[in-house]
Amino acid sequence: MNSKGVITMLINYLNYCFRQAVISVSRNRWLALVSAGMIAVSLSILGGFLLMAVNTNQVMQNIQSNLEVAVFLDDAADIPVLEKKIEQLDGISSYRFVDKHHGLQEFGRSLGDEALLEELTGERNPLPDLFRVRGVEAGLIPALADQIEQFPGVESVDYGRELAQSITRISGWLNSFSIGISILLAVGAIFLVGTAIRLSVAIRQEEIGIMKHLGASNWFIRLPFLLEGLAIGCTGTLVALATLGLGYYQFAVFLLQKSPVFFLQPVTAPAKLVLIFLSLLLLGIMMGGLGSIFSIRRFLKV
Amino acid sequence: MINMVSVSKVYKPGSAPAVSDVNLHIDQGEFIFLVGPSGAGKTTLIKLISREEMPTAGRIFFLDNDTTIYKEPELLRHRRRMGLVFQDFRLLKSKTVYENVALALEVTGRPPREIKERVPAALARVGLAGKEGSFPNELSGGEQQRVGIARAIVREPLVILADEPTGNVDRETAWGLMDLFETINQGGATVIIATHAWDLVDCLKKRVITLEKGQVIGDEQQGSYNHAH
Repeated sequence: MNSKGVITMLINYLNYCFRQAVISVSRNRWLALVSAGMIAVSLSILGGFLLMAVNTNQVMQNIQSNLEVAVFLDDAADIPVLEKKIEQLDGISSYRFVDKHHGLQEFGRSLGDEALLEELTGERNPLPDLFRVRGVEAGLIPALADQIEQFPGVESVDYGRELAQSITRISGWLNSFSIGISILLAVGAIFLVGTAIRLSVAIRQEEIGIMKHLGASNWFIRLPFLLEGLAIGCTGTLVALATLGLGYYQFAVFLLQKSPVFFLQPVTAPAKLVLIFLSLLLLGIMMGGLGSIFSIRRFLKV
Repeated sequence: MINMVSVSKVYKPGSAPAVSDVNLHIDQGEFIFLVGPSGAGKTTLIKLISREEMPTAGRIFFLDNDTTIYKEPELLRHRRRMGLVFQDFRLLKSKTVYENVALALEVTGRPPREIKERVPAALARVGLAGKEGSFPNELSGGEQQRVGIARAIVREPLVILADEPTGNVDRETAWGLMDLFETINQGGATVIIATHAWDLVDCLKKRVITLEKGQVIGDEQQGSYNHAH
């Protein structure tokens, strides 16, 4: 057979497969709808967890990026030398020097009434000069604090040790929990598609046997079921994405307008969101395909 | 055309062979009846020729090719050269007569235009012109078997293998089906029919291969059904 003949055969074959997939879905439309619905629910939950995970991570990062080490200096400290040493440390995102005068002003502002501290200005100011150092993540703060404390001219260091440790711990738990739940849901969804396709295959078992007798290749038999699984997976995923998209939009608008605290901001970066939605789409389609392939394998031996 | 050399088939190790040390030579254009009591190995022999089953021992040659070493592509080509007819018709109830016959062409990727030409022609050959839109359960047993035969001949195969094709139809219909097989044979196809219908076998005077307990115990040109078996 020449190449034109092969192409014509392939087109006829694909045409047949598409027709069979459409006929099969419409013949078992309730089963297909229920399966797609179950995938939609599974993927919505999975997607919800993923969105929750990225938002939690962002909140954690917001908090982490605001964690800082307060480095209190003694009066004899060589500030330019210290600044140089701090600047050269690994894991530092930013630092700033606060002299005792500005430190008093900051303290006054934190009390809500700067007038309360008027007596303590000038020579009577009891506060030391200090550096405020921020790490790139919360986990690095204790090590940074330990290093800085060893520098000459540093009297003491202070940071939210408990808070830093808690944030690192909670962040780890949330990530593990999200990954675990996501894997469970993905396996469940594959099983659901598999069940739908198995039923579809069982209904058409006689047809498969006859087709094998007529000389149909395994792929000829397999492809309509594969397309059926992909269509179910795709439909379910699109419903899930629409639901998630709408829900997340409402959530983001609400948080952007009414967030009570600075660090509670939704993830709105298109790159991150598109990546999640594309991954879900790919996952849904893959689940449909995998469910089909696993279900029809054992029916092909005639 | 078909050469079976010392062919045996054992389904379960330790059980009696379904076919034992069979040597057969079948030429192109022959009309052959396989006869023998139930369990004699007729169906197994047909399955071995169509390569639905692999022999446990021996070789089966089709057009000088050893079918026992076929891989998937050769196996598909082999099956596409055969037309199979079954006792229980094996028609798809959800498909129309036209769709049932068209399936044989669709699985080989034939273009729709060719299918539209060949399916009505095959149905006309078996006397079912005008029944294209009917569903199998709207037809008599004889008509359903004619659809099965139309599906078998629509690809113009080299060999027609029929396993008890008259087993589920009345005597008169069986005669009509045999006429049809003779016509197909006259068109050049080799026809191999496994049957219990002794009266048809005796009357048609074709080559008769008699099997018993998996062995060939008789092979006669213009033979008859051996009542002793």
